[in-house]
Amino acid sequence: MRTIITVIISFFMSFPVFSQQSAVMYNMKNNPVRNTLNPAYFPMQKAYIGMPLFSGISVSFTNSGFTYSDLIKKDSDDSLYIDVANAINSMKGENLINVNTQIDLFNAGIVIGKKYFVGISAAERVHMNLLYNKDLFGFAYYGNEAYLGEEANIEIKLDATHFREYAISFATELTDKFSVGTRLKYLYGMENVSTKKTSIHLYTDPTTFAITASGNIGINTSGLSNFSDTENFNMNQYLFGKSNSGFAFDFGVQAKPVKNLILSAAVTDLGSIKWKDDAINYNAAHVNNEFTFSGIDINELLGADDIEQALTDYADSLASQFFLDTTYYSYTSTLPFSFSSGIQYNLTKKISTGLLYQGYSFRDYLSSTLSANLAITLGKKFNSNVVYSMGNNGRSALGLGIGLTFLQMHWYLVSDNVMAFVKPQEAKSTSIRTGILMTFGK
Amino acid sequence: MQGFLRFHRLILFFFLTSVFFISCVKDDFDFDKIKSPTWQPGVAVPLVGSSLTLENVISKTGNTQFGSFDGNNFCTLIYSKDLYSVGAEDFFQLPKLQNNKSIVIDPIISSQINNIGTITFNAEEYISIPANINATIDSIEFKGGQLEFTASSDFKHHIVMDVTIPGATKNGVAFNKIINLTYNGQVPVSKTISVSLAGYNFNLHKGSQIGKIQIKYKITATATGNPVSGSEVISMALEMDNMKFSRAFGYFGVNSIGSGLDTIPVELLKDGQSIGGFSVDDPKFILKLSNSFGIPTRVDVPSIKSLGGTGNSINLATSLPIPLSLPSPGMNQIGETLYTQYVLDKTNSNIVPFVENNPTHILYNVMIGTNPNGPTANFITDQSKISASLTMELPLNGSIKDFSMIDTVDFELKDEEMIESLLLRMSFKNGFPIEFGSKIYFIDANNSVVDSLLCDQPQLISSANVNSAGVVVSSVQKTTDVLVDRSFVNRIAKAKRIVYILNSSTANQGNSHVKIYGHYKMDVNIGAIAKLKVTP
Repeated sequence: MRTIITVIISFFMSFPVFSQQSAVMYNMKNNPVRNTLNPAYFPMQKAYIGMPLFSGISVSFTNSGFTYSDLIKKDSDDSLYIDVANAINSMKGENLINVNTQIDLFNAGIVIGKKYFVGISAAERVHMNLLYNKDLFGFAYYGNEAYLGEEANIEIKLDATHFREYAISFATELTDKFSVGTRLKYLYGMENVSTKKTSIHLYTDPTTFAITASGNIGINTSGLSNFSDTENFNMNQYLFGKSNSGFAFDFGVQAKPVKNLILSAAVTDLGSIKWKDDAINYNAAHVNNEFTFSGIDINELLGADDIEQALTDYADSLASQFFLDTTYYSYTSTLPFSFSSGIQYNLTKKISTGLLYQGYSFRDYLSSTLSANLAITLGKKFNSNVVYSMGNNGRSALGLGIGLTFLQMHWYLVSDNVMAFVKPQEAKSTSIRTGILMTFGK
Repeated sequence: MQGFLRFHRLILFFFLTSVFFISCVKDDFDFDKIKSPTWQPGVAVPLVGSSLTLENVISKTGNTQFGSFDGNNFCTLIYSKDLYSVGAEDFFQLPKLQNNKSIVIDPIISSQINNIGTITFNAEEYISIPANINATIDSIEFKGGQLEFTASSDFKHHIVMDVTIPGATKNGVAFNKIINLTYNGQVPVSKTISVSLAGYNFNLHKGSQIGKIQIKYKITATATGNPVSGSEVISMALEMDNMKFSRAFGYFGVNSIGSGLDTIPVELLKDGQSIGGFSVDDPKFILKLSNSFGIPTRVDVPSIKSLGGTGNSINLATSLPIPLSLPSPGMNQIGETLYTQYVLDKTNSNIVPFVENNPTHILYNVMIGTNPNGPTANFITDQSKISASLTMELPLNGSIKDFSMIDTVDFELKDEEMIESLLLRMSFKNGFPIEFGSKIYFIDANNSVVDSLLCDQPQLISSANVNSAGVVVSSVQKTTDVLVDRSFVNRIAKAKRIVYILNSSTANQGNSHVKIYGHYKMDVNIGAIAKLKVTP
């Protein structure tokens, strides 16, 4: 039991990032791969090559609903107890759990002349977004008694995707003051679980307790048979032979309207994947069919020779309202996308400060973060950035990033919420990203 | 450079602070310290949600023979019982017939056989067909049965026997069979033939003896050269068995078809049910008689008695004719059934006190006899039947006081530790002019009451409002909440049985006469909120 609790807690206790794009790395000038956040950025180096598998790895988690300390409380006897009610009270109407991991398989870029940059990369990416509403937990924890006379709307929006990204980047300085960049991505889909409109509306009559239910359930999956059918697993087919493909692109601009002032804006991960391999679709047989259960209708049992069988038939009839149809059509899932807009001012050659707005959009949910930063750049050798962020969930975070270059090797480590490592029980998000690249030239 | 050192110190400060905090929060993530959580959801569940009408209940349960609705949907309970029924095959039966005949040939003639070569002579006999009743039968059409002839001869000569039954015809052809008794060195010489009677019509008027079968024998003897002793015999054995008639004509005599006392158990109340009193405004008894025997009959019902549960008995005093008239079909109505019925109501009998005696049994005497007026031409078919039935019609117009029903069911409460409290909500919108109360007792293994429910609720369901004619003018809703707590659950966890008592009376504690219509409706909503305590 304790194991189950631990797993559940670990799942929902995401500490991780605030916005799903690093606000810290965005303004670390020495970091050659910050152009993954804004393709218009030119690296300070002439060229770079990422060490395979070490060029970049990032992990981020977010649970906007509640923190560990909202759920786990310390009792007077120093033991711990689970306070689900408090965690539910901490939730907003709609909450997001986000998990993002990325492992850069390969990364390289080169500045051509002074006005062009070209880069290529490959990365293994996994993201999971689960939008859940407060009623999901409220209904499960308190029961429908807490919803007498009012509608409980249980909604789940899920998209979990494992894919590989092959990208080519291109940036150019159109003028001394304006540059643009784009990254084109070919996406190779490996696994996906995504919901369509999945919501259940439950109304319990306060007098008769009759329950009226309506809603819709639609779930698409692809590639999950890999987990159940291990005997027929073919690694080569798995890594390169699937026919799930898609495209995405990033786009960014950077402007320097006046001296020392830098304006930037970017949008990333605009794209989708079409899932053809092992695609399974589960859809409610009775879409939005409002159904009321007022209790057993005695009329249905009158005259029955076998009451037990009659009750079973009655229950089967009720259950059929919630049957799922299974089909095997291909489907398309869109990537959650990010966008950002910033202003940066160089106070001195080494110190700059600014503001950055970042947004992360999953379905109709928008996570926004506004951050202020102070960046210190000491030549090519050292680069750091301190960021204070505030998200639309009201939580603030302190992010730190550091980049060091020795012997052509650039190492960076950034986190958008370092306090999550100090007081993880109070963090709603955290992230960490690190990597080593070989850099060349100015 | 100094700025760089300051920054370095800042990093060191954050590192040391982090180490301090991490050591502080370590305990917060020690999952071994987590107590088992307790989950206490409140689950509201609708248990029963129904709209019940009497018409629907009767039709769904298939008890339409027990209730009928007139044009105004007024309900009458109907209770029918067969009093008596006899079919023709029970009334008239043909037992097994056996007959033996020996033929002795004149010794003078037989002694000459070797000289003449062939001699022929005739014989005949008349046989009665036996019956279980005193009857004179003119003819019988058989649908089954077996006729068997066994012939035997002592003559050491060849015998050919030609058997004819002139009165037995099938498809217009008289019965005729040849039996060869060929001498082969040994005597006696025997042979048996068997014939199905199905399709034969036996006319018992053929020949000189009325009511008997005439059988003719023509015997031909052919010499073989063997000597003749003069004492030789030719014998005939006739057997008719399993005779089944399809029709029979004649005079079936003066016989009793049925008579004597009998009892009908009346299941108005079943075991565990009792009633304080009731009144009905216009009950009816309908005595239905039917007859397809082609025989004049006399039906007498000398007594009908109501035996009440208290031992009180009431004779049904009626103005019925003695005997009752029961027509019988004539020769041109063969196969038809004729009916007659007599209605007993409050205008021609004391049926109201008879019914209000709350009979558990009805004792009656039915006597049916044939040909009360002497010989006439009668007939019966294998489908002929005489029957008598009694139908009791109770229009639901009256009053009931303190009808109660008690029953016991086994009880076992499972997972009771999960239940913290339970709210049971019973809501009834009653369109019937009947009020209901209920009590529930929880009984342990020692037959002691461990707790009870609803005992302080005199009325669980209120009667609908009625007008002076006893017709419902508006429904009445009543909601009862019963809240049981943890201690109650603990007590009833020891119970092994539940005894429940249901009381009902018509409106105003049974003091108002009411009428019940099929469209009266009761909305039943029973739901519960269970406050659970779940420890995973």
